[in-house]
This record gives sequence, C-alpha cells and structure tokens, in this order.
Amino acid sequence: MTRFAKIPAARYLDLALFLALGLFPLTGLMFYTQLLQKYMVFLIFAYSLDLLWGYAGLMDLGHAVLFGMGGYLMALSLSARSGVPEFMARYGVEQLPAWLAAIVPEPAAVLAGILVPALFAGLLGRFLFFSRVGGVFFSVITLALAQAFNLFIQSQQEYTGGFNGIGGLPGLSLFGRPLTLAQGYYLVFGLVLLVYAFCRGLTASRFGLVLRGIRENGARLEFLGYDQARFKTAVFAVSGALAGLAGVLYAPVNGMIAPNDVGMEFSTAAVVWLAIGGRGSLTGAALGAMLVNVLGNALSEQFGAYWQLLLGAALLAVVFFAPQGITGVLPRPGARSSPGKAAGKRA
Amino acid sequence: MESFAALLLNGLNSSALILIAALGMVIICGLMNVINLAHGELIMIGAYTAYGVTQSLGYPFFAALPAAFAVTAAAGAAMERLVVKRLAGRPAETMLATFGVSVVLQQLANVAFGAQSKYVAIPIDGKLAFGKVVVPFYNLFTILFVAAVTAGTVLLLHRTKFGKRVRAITQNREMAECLGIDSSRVDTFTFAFGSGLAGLAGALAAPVKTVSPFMGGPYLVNSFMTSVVGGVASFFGTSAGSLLVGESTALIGGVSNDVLANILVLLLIIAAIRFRPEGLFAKERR
Amino acid sequence: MRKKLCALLSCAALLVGVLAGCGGKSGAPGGKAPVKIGLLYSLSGVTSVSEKQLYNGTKLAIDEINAAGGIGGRRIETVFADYASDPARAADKARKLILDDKVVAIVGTCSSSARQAVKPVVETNRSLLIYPQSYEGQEHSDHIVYTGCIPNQQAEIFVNWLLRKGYRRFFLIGCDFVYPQVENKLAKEYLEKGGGTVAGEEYVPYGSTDFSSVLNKIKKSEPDVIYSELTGDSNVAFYKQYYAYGLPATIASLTTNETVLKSIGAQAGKNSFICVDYFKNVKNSLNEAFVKKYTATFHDGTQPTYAVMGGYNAGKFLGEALKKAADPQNTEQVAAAFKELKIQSPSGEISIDGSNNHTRLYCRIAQVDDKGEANVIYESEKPIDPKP
Repeated sequence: MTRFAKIPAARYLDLALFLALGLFPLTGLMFYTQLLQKYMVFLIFAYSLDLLWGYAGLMDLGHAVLFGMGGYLMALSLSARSGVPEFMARYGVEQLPAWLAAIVPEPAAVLAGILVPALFAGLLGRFLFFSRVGGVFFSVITLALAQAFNLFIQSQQEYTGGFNGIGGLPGLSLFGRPLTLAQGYYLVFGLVLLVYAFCRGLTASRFGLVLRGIRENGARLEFLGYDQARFKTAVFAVSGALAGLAGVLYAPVNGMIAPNDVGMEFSTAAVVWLAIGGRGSLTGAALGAMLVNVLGNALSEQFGAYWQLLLGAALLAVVFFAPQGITGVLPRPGARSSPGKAAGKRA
Repeated sequence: MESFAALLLNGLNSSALILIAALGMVIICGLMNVINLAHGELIMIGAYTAYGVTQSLGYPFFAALPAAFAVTAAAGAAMERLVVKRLAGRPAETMLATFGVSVVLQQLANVAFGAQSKYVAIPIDGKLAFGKVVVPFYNLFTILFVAAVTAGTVLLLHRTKFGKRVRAITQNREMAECLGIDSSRVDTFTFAFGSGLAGLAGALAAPVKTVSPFMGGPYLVNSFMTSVVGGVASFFGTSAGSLLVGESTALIGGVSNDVLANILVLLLIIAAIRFRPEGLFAKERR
Repeated sequence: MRKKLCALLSCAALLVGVLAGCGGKSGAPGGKAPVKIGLLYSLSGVTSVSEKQLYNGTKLAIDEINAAGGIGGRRIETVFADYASDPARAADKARKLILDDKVVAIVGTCSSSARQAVKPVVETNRSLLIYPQSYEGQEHSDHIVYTGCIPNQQAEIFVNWLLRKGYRRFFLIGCDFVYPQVENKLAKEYLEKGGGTVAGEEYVPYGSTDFSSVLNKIKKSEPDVIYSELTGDSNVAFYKQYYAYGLPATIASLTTNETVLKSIGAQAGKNSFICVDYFKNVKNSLNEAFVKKYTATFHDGTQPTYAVMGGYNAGKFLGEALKKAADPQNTEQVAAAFKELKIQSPSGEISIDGSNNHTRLYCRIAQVDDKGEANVIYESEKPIDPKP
C-alpha cells in the first residue's frame, strides 16, 4: 500500500488515458476512432510543448512552425511519390527540385521531418539564448516567427500549395504497405507511448532537473555552474524534433496540411491545451490536449454556431478557478493539502 | 523621387495607425506588465462604437472619437477589475485569460452584429495632390490626430499627478503604496486609458478599413512587435518603432510586393529584439 | 487513499468524457423516414460573412421544398455541422456527417481549402458534396457538384465587354492565392487577344487591409480600370481607400456583392462594375418573389447576393435530384440524377453540365449607382457552359 502511495496521482491519469485510448477502437466507432487518431498526434505535439514550456519555462507562441516543417516536408514527400504533383505543375514546375527528390523515399521524409525542425530550433536557440533573450521576448519572437512562416508558406505557392495547402494525401503506410485504420491507430498509439516514455525519462534525469531549475531561477543555476543557454538550446532542439515527428504523422493521418496548421492559431491552441491541462507534468499536457479537442468536438456538435464562444468562456473559467490547470488541483505525493490544516492537526 | 515621397507619406499614415494601436499596448504592457491578447478586440470595440455613433445615432464622426475612447476605456476598466486583477503577478495566466476574453468578444460580436463589415463614412473628403503625390485629407488628419494624442499621453504621464503616480507604481509598487497611492485604482485607470487609446485606433481605422468581429487579429501582432521593438517603457521608442514598422512595410512593399514586405519586416523585428531586447531606443542598456 | 480515489474518479470522468464526446446517434422515428442531408458551413469563423449567405440560401431552398411536400411526401431533414473556417475540421465534420449521421449528400463549404479538405472524404466514402460557391475551377470530381460560377463564365465576357467600352489599360489585383491568380491568367489571355494591356499586377496578403503601397503603384501606372478579385475584408478596405485617394480609374470586380456594397457605402462603390452570375436586381418575376421572401425571412444584415443564390441553387438542385432518383437514400442514384438536371431559378433557367458536374450559369454585369445599388446592365443571352 505504501508503495502505491508514492506514485503521484497524475500517473494514474496517464494510465487511465492510455488505457482508454488503447481500448477505444474496440468500440467499433470508426469515425471517432479516426478522430482520436488525430488527437493522439496532437498529444505528441503537446508533449513537445510541455518539455519546452512546462519544464524549461520557455513559452513558445510559435510552436506550430516546427510542427509545420515536419508536416509540410512529409506532405511534399507523399505528394511527389509519383512525379511532379498537380499543384506544382499548375505553376509550371517541370521537374522535382533536388531537395524534394531527396525526401521522396519514406525513411528520408521521416528523418527530414524530424531533423529539420530540430536543426532549426537548435540554430534559433543558438541565436537567441546565448544572448540572454528569454521570457516575454522569446514569446514575442516565436510569435513573429509563426506569422512570418505562415506568410512564407502562403506565398510559396509553387511548392506549398499556398493558401489551400497540400491535400489528398494517402494514409499511413509502413515500409510501403498502406495500413488499415486499426493498424494506423495502433502505430500512432505506439509512438505516443514511446514519446511519453522518452519524455518521462528525460524529465526524470539530471537534464530534466536542470531544466526545472532554469525555469525556477535561471540565474541561480548559472552560479551552480550550469550553462543555461546550452540546456535551453538542447531542450528546444529536442522539442523541435518531437514537434516535427507530430507533424510527420499529422500529414498522412489528416490527409492534408494547410497554412492554418502552421501559424498562430494552432500554436495558441496548443498553449491553451497546456493551460487547461496543466503544464510541467506531461500528464497535464495530454489531459489538456484530449479534453479541449474532445470537448470542442462535442460542443460543436451540440451548439452549432456558438461553440467557440462556449470554449472561450470555458478557458476563462479554467484560468480563474484552476490557474495551474487541471493537474494543478491534483494532490502531489508527500504534499500537505494546505499548511493551515496541518497546523490545525498539530494544534 | 516623387513616388518615394508618396510612399513615405503613405507609410506615415500606416505608421500613425500602428502607433496609436501600439501606444495602448505599451501602456498596458510596459506600465502594468500585462500581455493583453484581447488588445485587437479593444480596437474592435472602438470601431463598432464609431459605427454605432455615426450610423445608428447619426452623430458626426468627431463625436465618435471621444465616444470610442470612453466606451473602450470602460470595457478595459471592466476587464481589469474582473480578470486582470484576480490574476495579478501571474503573467502566463493573465495572458491566457485575456486570450479567453478575446475569443469571447469576437464570438459575441459575430453573434450580435453579424460578420459583414459595417459602414462608417469617411468624415473628410478630398485629397491633397502635388505632382504625382496624392495624400487623402483623412490620412493627414489621422497623422495629426495621432501625433496630438501621443503628445497628450506623454504630457499626461510626465506632467500630471496621475502620471506621476503611474510612474511611481511602475518603479516600485510597494513603496508607492507606502506613500499612500491607491495602486489598485491607478491600475484600473491605467488599463482603462490604454484601452481607450486602442479604441481610438479602431475608430480612426473604421472609415478606411473594416468594422468586423475578426478585425482585431492583424493589429495584435503588429502592436506587439512595435511595442517590443520600440522599447516597452519608452514612448519615443514606441513612436520610432511604429514609424519603422510602418515605413519599412510601405517602402519594401513599394519596391517588391506586400507579402514579401510583411515577411521581411517580421524578420527585421526578430533581429531587432535579439540584438536590442530592451528596445531600439531604450535609455538603459542591459 | 484519497489521492487514488481522486485519480480514479478523474479517470472515470475522462472515459465518460471521451465517450460522451462521441455524441448520440440521431435515430429517425418510425413512419416515413425523412431524407437526411448535411449542411457543412462555418458560421462561427472568419469566413462566416460568406458562409452565412450560402447557408441562408440553402436553408431557404430546403424549406421551400419541404413546404411543397418534400421528396414524395418525405421531409428533408438537415443536419448542420460548423467547421469554424478550419479545413481540417471541415474534413472531420464531413466524415461525421457521412459515417455517423448517414446523410445522403452534403451541401456546403465555401473556401477552396475547405472544399479540397472535404474532397477526399466524399470520394473515399462514395458520398456527394454540392459546392455552392464561385471558385477558380480547374477541378473535377465525380462526387462533387459545383453550382457556383467559375472564371470562364466571367472573364471572357467581362474583359471583352470592358474592352468594347473603351477601357484599355488594366491593373489586375487580388489576394495572394489561387482564385485571383487563375482569374488574372485568363484575363491576360483575353486582353492579349482583344488588344488591351496589363498596366500592373499585384497580390496582397490574404486579409490585408493596408493598400498604401498598392495605391501608389496604381497611381504610377495610370490604368483605365482596376480589375479586382479581392475578397473579404481586403475588398471592403480597398474600395474605401481607393475612394479616399480619388484616383480616376474605374473598379471592375469579380467578387463584390450587395453585402460588400452596403459595407463600403454609396460613395465608394459609385460607377464601379461587377460581373457575377446573379444580382438582387435581376428583373424577373421569380426573382422579385425570391428577394421579397429573403428579406422577410432573414434579418441578420445579409443581402440576397450571388452567394445566397449559389446556396439556394445548390439546395434546389439537390431537391430535384432527390426527387428524380428512384431511391433518395441512395447516394449513387442521386449523384447520377444530377446529369443535365435543369431548374427554374431566380437567376434564370440553369442546368448542370453532365460532363464536368459544373453549372451552366448566366453572366451578368452590373454598375453601381449613386445609391449603392447594383443595376444589371448586361445579361448574357443564354447560360454559359462551364469549362473548369
């Protein structure tokens, strides 16, 4: 009994979530299974943002840029499988450019989709963190980046399909064989578990401890001899890789990718998930992502044109009554519910 | 040469609108340390007020300007008391709360007014034309009005007792409170003033741009960038920042195309923040 | 112990939440089961300006059909889904309508990005989408019926009409995406054939409302006419700023409608030209009745525009196809019933071109008077064949 008492309540939530997700396809509701498959991709994205924001304290308002890089690279690869895709041919592109031809094979696309955002994040981190840009400035820069990237994608219509994005993408396939819905679902599920395990391991390690130290008091950590900038850049790159992975999965699961998915709206959406679920625990990120998306879907079914209003109001309510998010109201192991109570007990 | 002058002058008009929108944000962000993501919606409230005053009530446009200021200031005060005060000291939560407010305001406007843009008449017809340069009178009015408002704001903050209290609170809240300043009331007034400025921006833009529920978005990013580039604590910085942003967009747009201009300006802003994060014109250097 | 109880309760709540989000299936009660169709429009997002008009039109058509007895005595039941201007959500909602609500067909979407997101969904699930909005063409699907006008139904007539009126130098302007680019490409072809010249070509970011640099370029290039495919907020802002600058060239738009005219005021739109397939002031008895009914039914500030008519035609065509099909629940039969289907619409007698699933529509040109009303000054003799 005492052994179980040491496990944080949050872990039970994780377990419950994964159980629910793992068992859901057995209900046979095909449409909702497909929806949950997409939401699981969002889980990976949420985990990547949690690493950066929840653990390292860097609020990235443009995280969808990294997601979008992975997504667009994968989408381009998928649509170029059988020669020059239609949306390019329309602009007179006769031949696949060299970089595109290089990522047509699936493993190359996956690798590129993960490494390119990681590299970009790493370089950006090198550019920013080593000159002590942090806090609100980091957020503003990422916001500007999201805007610029969105505009850039829209303007490069020959290569990105512009405003309409790249559509008609085939579903998930492994080693060339297309997967059924159930198989694809469990592939994504497996990846979610892997990413979760990886993030747990990372945050429990010394690296994770340093990150949390940076979040709480970066200057103090410097005095202890840790180079903040290096750690921040590293976590940014790792977060970028995971966001890219989410993007790589998103393209085939969603069947299309558009500038909508890489700009401010999607970045802020992820921030909202973490705000509602709670950040810094991975559980909150998953909870928030699932809850907001499922709730949004349910609300839009019930309330037609008013559901966004209700969602905004719900966000306000959460920020008021549970500012640390849902996991913020969960008791933690060893913590007293309130100092007053303990004092009362003693007295 | 003439077209360059034309570009410059029209860039000035864009800058003026950016400036007054950013001014409100600078006051709220710089003086109160609150990142208000509902800033665009405050601008929207000002625009709708202008519509209501001129079209529904039939008053001239020049009555719409103070009305927009008053209504938006009241909305800002309400927002401050109900939302911001409760979350004081928690910037991330405040930001998220203001985001929630922004969504709610947008959807309410959509439900109440419909999504189609409302008509607000341009109050001053005609243009100034010398050679190849054309400047509509209303643009000139906007530039002059914004300059006046900026000057007025600076005067308010540096020459009045209220301004002194605001600056005192910014520098050291506890000390100011010890000296008997009711920081809570001053906060509300400051937020209201910043919101009022945003409302003015919306009212000024209403005749030449749009009055619609989702009009606030583009202003938000621009205001953000401008206030950070110019330096959040300095009005000269903000003015210069907005001039920079407005003129660069106009000039680059003049030689190439608007899309590229927007992208380049955003990249320039990123560089500016990186190399001078306290603002291009801030007096103190980190 | 309390912790674990708390956690367990949360898990249960979560599971319930997940399953509750799945919603209940709307089962039809016994008796003559209604025919279900889906309405997929975004009434809560940034495109709701146009989508509300499309939605109103479709709703009016369906209500009319139901009032006249429905489909062989069976009511048409509409299932509405809102996709908040997000193409990914549009695809999700389309899937839900088809798989979960089991609709026969979907009427809806507005922007090309939403339609292209929904296209693979209707094709994979062998369903049917009636797409009511005017767009750039260059698309064909056996599972989509397009009832809005496409560039070849506007550009050729409009450009040649303008050339005949003496406008020679054209300044082309649009938002930066595929629709204006296709329109401009066509315009340039016809200009070359007809002896006109391109004074300039500009694309602004989607949603941009600042035209200072563009207006300077226009002033410099001294065109006779501004050929515009601007949409949404950009369109409204452009008219207003153009008027403030007082430049001499006339604006000729392929996208403006009566709602936009109300937003810009009588002065800004005066004397400008518009070319689309339908205007409120089209003079025929069917349209006069339609306009009266529309203004009596809807008080949300929208006007009867070509968007409304697109939605209305979509609903009317669908109703006719449902009646013609042997089994209105069978999507394939309904789709087949669309070939060469003809209806009497307030915009004239129009029909579906079976070879490409687009609609033969009249081309009309209107000039805006000093009261801000668009008066039809040219109407094509017969409907134009669509060539997507």
